[in-house]
Amino acid sequence: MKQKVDVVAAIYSAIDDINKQLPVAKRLAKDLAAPISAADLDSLNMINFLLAVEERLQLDSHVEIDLGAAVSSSGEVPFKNVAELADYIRQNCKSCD
Amino acid sequence: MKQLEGLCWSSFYAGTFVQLLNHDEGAPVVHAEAGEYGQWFGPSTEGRDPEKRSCDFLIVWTMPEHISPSFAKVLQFELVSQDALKREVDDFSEMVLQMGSRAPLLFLPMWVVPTWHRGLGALDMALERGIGKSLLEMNARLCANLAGAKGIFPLNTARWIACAGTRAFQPKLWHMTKNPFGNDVYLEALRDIKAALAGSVGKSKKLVVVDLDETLWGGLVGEVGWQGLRLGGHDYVGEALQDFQRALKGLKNRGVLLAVASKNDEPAALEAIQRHPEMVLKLEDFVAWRINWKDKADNIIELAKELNLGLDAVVFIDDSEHERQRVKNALPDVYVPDWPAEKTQFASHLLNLRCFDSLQVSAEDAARTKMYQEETIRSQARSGHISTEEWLAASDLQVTVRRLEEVDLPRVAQLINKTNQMNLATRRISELDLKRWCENSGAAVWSIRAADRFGDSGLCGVLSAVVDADAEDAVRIVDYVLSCRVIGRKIEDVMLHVAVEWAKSLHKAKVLATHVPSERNGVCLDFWMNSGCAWHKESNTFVWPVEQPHLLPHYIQVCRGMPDGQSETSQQSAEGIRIHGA
Repeated sequence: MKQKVDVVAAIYSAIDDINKQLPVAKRLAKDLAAPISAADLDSLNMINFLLAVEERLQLDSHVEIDLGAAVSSSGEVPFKNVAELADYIRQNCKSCD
Repeated sequence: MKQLEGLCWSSFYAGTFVQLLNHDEGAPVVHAEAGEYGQWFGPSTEGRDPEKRSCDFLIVWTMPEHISPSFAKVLQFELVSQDALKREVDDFSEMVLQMGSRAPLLFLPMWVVPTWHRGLGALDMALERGIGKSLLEMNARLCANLAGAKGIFPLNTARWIACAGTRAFQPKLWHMTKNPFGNDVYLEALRDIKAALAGSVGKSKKLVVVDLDETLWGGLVGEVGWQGLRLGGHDYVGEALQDFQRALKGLKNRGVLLAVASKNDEPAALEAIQRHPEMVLKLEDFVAWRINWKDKADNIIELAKELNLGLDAVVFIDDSEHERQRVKNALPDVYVPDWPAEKTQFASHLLNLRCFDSLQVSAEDAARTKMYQEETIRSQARSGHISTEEWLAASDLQVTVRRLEEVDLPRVAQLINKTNQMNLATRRISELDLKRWCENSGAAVWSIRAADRFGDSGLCGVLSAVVDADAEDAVRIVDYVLSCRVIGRKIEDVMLHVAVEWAKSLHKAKVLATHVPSERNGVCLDFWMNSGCAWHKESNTFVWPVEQPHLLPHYIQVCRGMPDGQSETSQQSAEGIRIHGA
């Protein structure tokens, strides 16, 4: 059964987490248009960020999704900003509405 | 506070931890580098060679199965030789000891295994092959091997794991990045490490000023009388407040001073402290109090002044948001922690504050409250005397000066690092570096003790000096440090006298002392300005020509400390004193 999941809230919560690791100038904005790409986060930080989103979705909404698979070996991801990441999650999450 | 440089060696990918450490906004500012992942035991490049680098601290964080092949087998429930397990821990301990000599501070998070390792279940702590039992014994052995090693601090990783709860270990993170821990573990770790670093440079808090009504006890004593207060008894709030008082008493036992700032009628409040049978804290646990209807910010200023402490050494605890905000706004240097409304959380909230962390514990810490109380009696007794000289003569002040002994090193390092006011250069140095400096620089270091008929102030001063590198006919004072508790008792003059006598014994022509201004050491400048030394304004350097006799205050009895702890007492005169070893 599909459920209403606040995907953007989970992403923003993960942004709070990852920002603690980043210098002030490189911190991600909590904005749908905020860019998320290999240029903004190195591959390890990208993985940390996406796993934080996974964890938040799991803890808050009991939704399981594998975002680690979205990261290529060169750290590229198939989304450019928060809005596209949210769409990616909705498309790949069987239980999300 | 300057940025502190660190290095982190780990047996796993520690980049995330180091990033969190570097970008955390709490004091002190830190810049750490991570060693190559998996290369924790040694540098992989010349640039990371610790022999060729100097840093303020090291963090050595490893997983037990990476250090001990035997423990890796234990994780597979294989039978292993206990001797082999011990030998591997001993080898690692030796390596840590060697690394410890490369930086003044080394932090060593204790070994843990992920919480999903249930081991042998009910047998896990009973059998030698149990994972839990093996790990407990390995950690105990590691701590025992490192006990007494200066500057090496094993850290309680298990507490960080408990704080992080289900977020502590993340298998996916491990398999994708070789990072075993969730960020919540690292955040707890870095806060503990930063608190230790702050303590190492004298930033730990020294005084807790606490409110009474609804803070130390439930209810308003002015309205219900001490008999009507909620404290102890068969009442969960009363019990919680007793726990809070126990936590405060524990701080006092660690050397933190307690004082009261309360808007109340003083007689009623003091009666409650003295007569309520459930009070854990007694009147003698407090060094001072201001119980009146005045502004609490003003009262805190008065308390700090009375105790000779800077406002940045003060923590203010009050249940009232209004009072906390008032003090925060009026006295930004005072630390005012947010405080829970729920009284059952008071004790845990206090115990979770890191601002009291220190890297040294001395006998003086435990006796600090008593020493301050003696100081209060001293001040009261003084009011009947006209002059300082008359007063000091009547108080039978005895100062013991002795060359630094190994046993005094922790307290001497503590004084150098914690003292802000009577501190010539505010040099901060770890115990290990101080020891090395004493061995390598040709420095002479003296510990200063003071006692009078009111009590023993313990080891309360440090003087160190070297033959000046630029002017070979001069001796230069490096550390000139005196606890704020004994400022103004002319011990300052005794210390200068010691330096002059040492210079004379080396046939040097002068004693130099350069005042390095800080926010807090103006009182030290005042002393030197009135010391009789010539002042070279451009370099802020004070000069005493050795040919000019330096007279000891005749009303102070100065003892020459002996290496075996005995002392040879003599009433000193203008001829000065002989210093052991000089």
